[in-house]
Amino acid sequence: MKTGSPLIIGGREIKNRFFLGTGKFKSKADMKKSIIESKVEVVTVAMRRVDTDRHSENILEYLPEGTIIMVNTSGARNAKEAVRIARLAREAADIDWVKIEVINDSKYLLPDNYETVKATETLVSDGFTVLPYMHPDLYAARELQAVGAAAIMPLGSLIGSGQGLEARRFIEVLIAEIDAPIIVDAGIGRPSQAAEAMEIGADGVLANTAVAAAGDSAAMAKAFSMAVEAGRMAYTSKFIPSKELAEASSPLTGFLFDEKQ
Amino acid sequence: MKLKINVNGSIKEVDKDKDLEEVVRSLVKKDQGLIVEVNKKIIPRNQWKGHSLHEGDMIELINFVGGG
Repeated sequence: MKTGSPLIIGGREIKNRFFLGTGKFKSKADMKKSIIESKVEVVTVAMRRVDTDRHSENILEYLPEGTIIMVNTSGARNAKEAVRIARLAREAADIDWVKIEVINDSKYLLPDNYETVKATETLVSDGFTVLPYMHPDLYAARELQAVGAAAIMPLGSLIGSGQGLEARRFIEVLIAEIDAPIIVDAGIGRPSQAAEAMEIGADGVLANTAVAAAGDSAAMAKAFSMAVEAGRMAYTSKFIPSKELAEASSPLTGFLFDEKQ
Repeated sequence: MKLKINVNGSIKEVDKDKDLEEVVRSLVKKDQGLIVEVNKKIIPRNQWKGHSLHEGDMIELINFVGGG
């Protein structure tokens, strides 16, 4: 268990345990404002072919200086494609943090744990800091840890669904059994759900749609940051056990209206 | 003379005497941050000029975009 210890990934101490995805923002300015106002330290970006018919801008230009950039391998359908995306990002922009995301299913967008383990192994030996996005399965998590994943990112629920911690019980198993940091990724729609993940002992939370598609993205990013911090603080402060029946918080003696016998 | 190259998965015809820089500029309106690969090898921006293309070359024009 990692109570009270700082979050260290790839040799760097991460103070803000809320990680933010940069997709779907209304504008790049909106995205930048969200990062700055919430003091997010780690963000994800993707790589895509340029649409030659459209105006295309490089998102890296809009990220505040000092932001830790993690390239995701979205679009990869197997380990080989994920490895290619990561290597391309490193060669093009010196990005050596990678979120492995291997998805082969267009309906549920569930990650392929088997291919994810393979890609993680290759990229760790290439010297990358590897954070695999995975379905919360204990055996796969153990494999990922064994091949050198810097952190493990189980999904809370289906990507972009905002359903929260549907996989809570299984994430709890990973938190109990895996030493590598656990960052809950995907499906987190509200700050309260992010706080819940932290309260059960997750080391961090990554969200994107919940912030990017919010009415006020910058305020929502800040709300998530605060919720993640609050959840962490609560977790390290130790909870009271829950009880079946009521227990008064005020003393049960010396009531003002008691009659002396 | 024209030659056929593959750009981002589709076939394009370009003038044989155009170099990579001219081809890229003709395809992309803004090339800030653009990554150009020819046959799976990144060609640094300062080498686009004078880089000649050949029939069947596979060109990828890639960019960093927002993503989760």
